[in-house]
Amino acid sequence: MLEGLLTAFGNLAGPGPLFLIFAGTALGLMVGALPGLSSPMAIIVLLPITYQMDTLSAFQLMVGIYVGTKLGGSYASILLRTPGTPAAACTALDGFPMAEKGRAGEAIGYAVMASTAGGLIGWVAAVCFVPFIAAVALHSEPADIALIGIAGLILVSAFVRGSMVRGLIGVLLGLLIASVGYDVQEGVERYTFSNPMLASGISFAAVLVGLFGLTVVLADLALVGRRSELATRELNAELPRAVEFFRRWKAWTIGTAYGIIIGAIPGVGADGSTWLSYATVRNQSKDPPPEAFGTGVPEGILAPESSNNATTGGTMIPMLTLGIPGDASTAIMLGAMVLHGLQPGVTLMQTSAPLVYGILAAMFVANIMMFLIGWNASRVFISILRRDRSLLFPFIIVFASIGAFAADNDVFTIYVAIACGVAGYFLEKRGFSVVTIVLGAVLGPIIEYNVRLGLAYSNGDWAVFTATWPRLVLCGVIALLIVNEIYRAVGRRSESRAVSENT
Amino acid sequence: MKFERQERIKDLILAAVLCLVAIGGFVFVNPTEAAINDGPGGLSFRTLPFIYSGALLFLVALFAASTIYDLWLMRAGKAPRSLFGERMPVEHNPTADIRRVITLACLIGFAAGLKAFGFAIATPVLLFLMLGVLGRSNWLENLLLALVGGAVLWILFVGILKLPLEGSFWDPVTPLLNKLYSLTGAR
Repeated sequence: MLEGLLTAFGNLAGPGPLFLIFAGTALGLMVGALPGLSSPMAIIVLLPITYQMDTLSAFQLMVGIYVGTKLGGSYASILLRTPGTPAAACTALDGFPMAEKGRAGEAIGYAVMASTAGGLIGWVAAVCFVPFIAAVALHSEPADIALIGIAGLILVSAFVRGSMVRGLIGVLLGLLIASVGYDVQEGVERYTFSNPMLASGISFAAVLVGLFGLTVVLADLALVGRRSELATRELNAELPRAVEFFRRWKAWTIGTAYGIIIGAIPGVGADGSTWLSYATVRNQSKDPPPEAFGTGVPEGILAPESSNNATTGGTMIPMLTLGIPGDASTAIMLGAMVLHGLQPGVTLMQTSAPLVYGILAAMFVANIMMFLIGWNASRVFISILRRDRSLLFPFIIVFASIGAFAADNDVFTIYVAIACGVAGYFLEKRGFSVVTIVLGAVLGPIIEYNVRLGLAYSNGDWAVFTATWPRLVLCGVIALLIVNEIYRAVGRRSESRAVSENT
Repeated sequence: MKFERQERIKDLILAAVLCLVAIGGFVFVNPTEAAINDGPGGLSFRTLPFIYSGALLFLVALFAASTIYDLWLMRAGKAPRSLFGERMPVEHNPTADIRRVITLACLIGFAAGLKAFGFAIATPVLLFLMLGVLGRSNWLENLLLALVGGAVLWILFVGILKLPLEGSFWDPVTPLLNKLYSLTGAR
């Protein structure tokens, strides 16, 4: 393991990889700073460029964006009270009051320090757990892989916003999308309508561009034309003294722990972890007292920001070992793996260990670069907050369209992306999450292939899916999550009945 | 209450569309009507898509039933129960809706124009139209931005990344740009 990681660090020594990580991190900070735009959108915009790169270089750029957006989101929270990314919303609670008191630079400094600490500790967790879980997962048979995939889909459906019913509807739409094209095992066309453009399936790039690029553009058109007034014109980050930072160790260690653990749960991402860590730190805090939170205390920035960046390490654990994404950005990265001809999942470590270590090494460097850029060049990214998006969106549309086109060098994929974008926009508007659709589309072929292979190995005996203890545990987890959802729905029904009767 | 009812009716419309998708999952799975014997465990190429479509139909029926139940409760003057989660509150913005429709029309036009007239013509036109649609009123500045932006994007996608973005019907600009680009010595 250590050897693989050291080799990966050695491969980063050239100017090319370092430039890619730097460019990705800087772009991530910029995109994260703009409310409404986030890392999935930035990765989609760069899709046509990453086609021309080798797989590792493409991931160095994507990892930089992923890490950078986490800190970028806090700028808008602190200076505008409008979070740049959903996960940074919690930072506004204490960040904005600090900015109003003329301490914006200090607030940004705390955000930079907490993000870096959270990101680096999250990275250590990923480095420790990825090889361990991957080694265990390597012993999986097709039936295990199929069950892990199904459990991943159910987990994501259970934890995305809304309800499991909405999540599962999204997953099933993704699975149907993945069914389009030639069935590889029997060579029969499915859902192609005899259209040769659909024979090889719906272009995955088109699905990604549509669901993550065009959906966001269509949704964010409501934000165009709104000018932003910053809380203060003091724009330089002032890093806290080491003693000040370490004196508040509880806030950022609790935040980091939440970030790693919740980040590793598929589908939850950073949004939930920041609020949980903030609530925990506030409730157990003696100095400052809980009632001081919300008035501008550094602990209120340290907890959510460390948690937000620690999720980058947490989300990498299921993504690199089981092929299950922790959030939307890692879902796109899984998609990018498919586009680059890799099969994400339990065999990734076996087939592409240098890539896995390369991604982990790039993540460490991206955290360091995020610290350096955040410390020295915050002013540049904050100035973007004042800009209107009307200039940016037309260019995003061109990049996204060409990203879809470049997958097959045909305009048909742009039409598919537009259809996915419109469908994604309406589904998001009605409380469905597009992440579930993408996950269904990524895991669908893997699940189908392994279900059929597992049945072939067992001469068609379905009991193969409950033949071992780990498989029984996985079936138990799936059943538990479904029962929990039914229980919640029934609970909600009786709760509202009680409310109706009282009123 | 009126807004809540409207939102539920929109949910019902979405459920109807999803129901059609699920039924389509059964009907359109095999366009060539190929007959294949079942594989191990009784699985064939259509088994899993049928399971997906069946599960989708079931869940959409649950979603629709919960929405109808909420509508019935609201009609009786009671609070809706939202058994399967709530939507994010959506701000109604007619200007943004108009922009969305025009943006979609521009995108479809861009895709069609890309094939017929090539990237070199379609992109500046799209950029110019979109800048106007998004409320930038200085037409001269928009034109300049569209032309310069289009040229920079052409250099990136056609010059550097070498994507085949020439028009098939009428594209006098791409050969000219290719010639200019080769004169710079970059190709």
